[in-house]
Amino acid sequence: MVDILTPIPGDPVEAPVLEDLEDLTVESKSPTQLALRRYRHHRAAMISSVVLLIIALACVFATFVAPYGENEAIKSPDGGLRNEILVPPNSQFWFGTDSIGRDLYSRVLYGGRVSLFVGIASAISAGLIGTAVGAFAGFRGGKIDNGLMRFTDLVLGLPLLVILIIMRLLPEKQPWAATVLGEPGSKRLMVTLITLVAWTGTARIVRGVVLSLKEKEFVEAARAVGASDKRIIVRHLVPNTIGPIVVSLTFIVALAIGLESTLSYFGFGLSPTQSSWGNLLADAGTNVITGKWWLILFPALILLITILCINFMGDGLRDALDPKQEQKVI
Amino acid sequence: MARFIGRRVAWAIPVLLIVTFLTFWAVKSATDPVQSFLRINTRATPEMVEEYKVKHGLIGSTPEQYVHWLGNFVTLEWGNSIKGNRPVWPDLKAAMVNSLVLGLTASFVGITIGLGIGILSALRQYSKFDTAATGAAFVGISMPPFVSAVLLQVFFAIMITSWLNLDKPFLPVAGIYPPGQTEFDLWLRMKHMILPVTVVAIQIIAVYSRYMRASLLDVKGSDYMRTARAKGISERKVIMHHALRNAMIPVVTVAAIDFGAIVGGLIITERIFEFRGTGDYLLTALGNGDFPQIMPLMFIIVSSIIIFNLIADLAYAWLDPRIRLG
Amino acid sequence: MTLPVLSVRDLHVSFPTPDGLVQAVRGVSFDIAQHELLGVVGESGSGKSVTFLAVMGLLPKRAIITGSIRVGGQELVGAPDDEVRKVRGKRVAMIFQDPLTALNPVHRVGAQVVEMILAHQDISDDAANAKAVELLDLVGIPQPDVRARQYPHEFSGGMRQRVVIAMAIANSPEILIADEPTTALDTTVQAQILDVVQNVQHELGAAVAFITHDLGVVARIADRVQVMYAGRVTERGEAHDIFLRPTHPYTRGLLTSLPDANLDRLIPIPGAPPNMLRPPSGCAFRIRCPYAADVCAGEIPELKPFGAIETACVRVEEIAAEVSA
Repeated sequence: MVDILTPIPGDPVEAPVLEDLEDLTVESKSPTQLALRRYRHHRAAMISSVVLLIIALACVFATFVAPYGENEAIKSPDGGLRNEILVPPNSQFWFGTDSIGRDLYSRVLYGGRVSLFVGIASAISAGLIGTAVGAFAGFRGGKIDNGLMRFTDLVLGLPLLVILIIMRLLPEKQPWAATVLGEPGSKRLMVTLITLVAWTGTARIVRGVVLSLKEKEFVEAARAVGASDKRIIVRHLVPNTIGPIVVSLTFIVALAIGLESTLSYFGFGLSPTQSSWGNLLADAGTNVITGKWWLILFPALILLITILCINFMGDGLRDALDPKQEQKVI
Repeated sequence: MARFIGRRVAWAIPVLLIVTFLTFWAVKSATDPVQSFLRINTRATPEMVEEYKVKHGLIGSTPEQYVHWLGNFVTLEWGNSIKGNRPVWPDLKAAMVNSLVLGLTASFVGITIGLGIGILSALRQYSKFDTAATGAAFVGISMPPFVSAVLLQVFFAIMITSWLNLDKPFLPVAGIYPPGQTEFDLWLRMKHMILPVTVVAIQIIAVYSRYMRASLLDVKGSDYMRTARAKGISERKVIMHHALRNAMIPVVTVAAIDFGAIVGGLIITERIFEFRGTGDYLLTALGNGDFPQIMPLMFIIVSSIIIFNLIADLAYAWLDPRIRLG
Repeated sequence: MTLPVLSVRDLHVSFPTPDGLVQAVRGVSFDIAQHELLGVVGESGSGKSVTFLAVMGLLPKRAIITGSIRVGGQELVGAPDDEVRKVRGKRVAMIFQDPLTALNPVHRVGAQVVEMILAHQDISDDAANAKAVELLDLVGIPQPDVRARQYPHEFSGGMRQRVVIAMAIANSPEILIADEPTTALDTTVQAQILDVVQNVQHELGAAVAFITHDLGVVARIADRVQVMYAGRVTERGEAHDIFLRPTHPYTRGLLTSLPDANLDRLIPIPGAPPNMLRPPSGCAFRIRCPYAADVCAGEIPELKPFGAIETACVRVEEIAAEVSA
């Protein structure tokens, strides 16, 4: 119900009240250095970067880090199967084990790979599409722009989950959809679906930037010197859009991970053999009522922390790369 | 202004038809009513299948089927569900009422608190309150609703109950009423709504507080704020009359759009708390491939969104005179 | 000699920033009398705007302000907020640079003028509305009763600025501060606005501070001129004295750098304005001054009379001799 795809305007860095003030301190630093400095200022983003790096590395190198296999049911020393009865304050199974006896910690690590992959892949493809559409709309302006914006409005407005579920069901019933979009339960399908709904945010942002840049004097100046459209786009517009695009991509990663976990939890996501965090939470399901709290807590915490870190980093990047944010709401 | 309204409305109708047609096509492809019919009625003869197809207009091309369905929809002949052969409308109506109650309550609570926090955050930027509120908002946004729902369930129904040694859960976690309750009981109703509303409100508060904060900060740095102060009026008046008046514009527009989505229910929250709203209804229907149940609801949802988008546009124009001439 | 309406003594304004203390205004003193228009000239960063924002009490709370600002005898530095608010908009009013952004886009123009009136005058709404229309008429807006009900975006730049002026004079202020009111406007419109300002001054008998970096504008309307650089006043005197016989090297540089069709190239002042976090010792202009000597790096030069002009240059006599030689 809450529209998380509308770009949430960031905090305008406290604008100096007086234009004079900016001119009073002339420092020569390159834009990259300034951006880095601003990012370092954002404490939450810095901490998040470190935390996320640790998580990401642990997950990527799960094969080396995880004490047990992804689907390995651990046998008790006396030959039988160890079950979910195990409690975490256990030095052997840091997160406890699940109903089949698999080590939750290892599964969380392996699951991270899946979730992170889905997140990043979705962000990249959504970003590409969004940038292309947004730049096109912004540059051409007029009716094309209008039409595209109304279209994205509509996509943004429809209930996200409903669309995703319907689209998720398509490949099950229609073979052509499975070939085009991806097999049900596959990562490819998930990435495709998320991309289809997530590109709109980036499109809006890029369109906004391009629109505002179009009017700026340096574009006029470039034209006056005889630069072609293509040169203007590449040399002038693109460098200025990279910042907002990167910020947008970051937030899409967070969104994608959230969506994937939600869909998987309800069975509309990845096939249960893939241990994404959403699937882990789905596995936990009814066990929680009987008191096996660790099955829910650890995947949930890891999910929350990862998404939180990504969001903080996105905020930090926004401060760093886009200090005078234009607020485009509609 | 009238022209503005007229144009927007004229746009809305074809959009409505196109989108609902696409939805029709998508849902039909995704659920395949004939297959569903066969699944439920495993011993149906070919004649029965044909009869079913004719009765539900499932012959001919997709546009033809759409038109046929639309005709039935508009004349309120919504037929029966595939599973259980129940009339669609009564169940749908009950679900809609539940979702509306849940959605409106959560919106009211969430938006008021969210705006309040956002305003205070912006006015006391970088203060401890602001940092705390920002942190909390980020957590709220980062937590997928099903996570907060499940965590709250675990905490309130299981943990607290066992800590306080109660025999009944501290807060109900399922259903609109305790099992067996058929009469309307305000207290019970409210008690069962506490957790679901909280889950939804958390998200709303998080988003709206950030939105309001950003909008107000944006406005606070405007030149006309300086002009307003230069008049020597009280700071309170400056904030209320100038800052808020401008800062509310984008917020109101977003809220209008959000209201359009209420009728669609909240799939996650409703499912987890077994709250029989339209979200839960839809989820079940999609799971069953129950086309007659799905389509009317989808049409209502799409219409609601388009209508409220329209309202949002109009509200924006009303609040911001610069838009009116566009 | 009329009593000065605005009297500023030894004003210092600094801003704490993450990089250190920015010294925007470093000891500025001046008077403006009734009926007098003081043109305040300087580059961006000279402190000219900050000085007058301090007079209006519009600087952010973190600004550190010392010195004295007296409006008709009432001391404003250190005065409690509500006292300052009573003065702001009533005894001192300000016209800002960009009329497009200076007006609230969602309020009708008439209402914004009325707000100014009702902030300081206890009259009925109807009376205020009538007065607002009168004011719009006074600044030369045609059909003022109709236009009062319109929104700012329905006005052209020049018309908007007239509205801003109407708002500023609504309570017949004793002091009117115009902060680069013509910079954002076309040259033809500039001339009109200058006329309006002069008319208004004539009507009110107000003391006017006209801040600008445009020497042409100053030459046209100023009685006296004050040149500022790096947070200090470098030269002050009657307008025609300053233009015909400038004494300070900075003022000379400014006048020489004016575009002249007879020249092949522009003659700018070499260098850039100083970093106000760490202004140069002594005379801040010495880094760019063609006449700089060792003595200039010593004490910060004070404004001293030199003929009919006040100049802050320790080498002023030597330079004058050099130039006329």
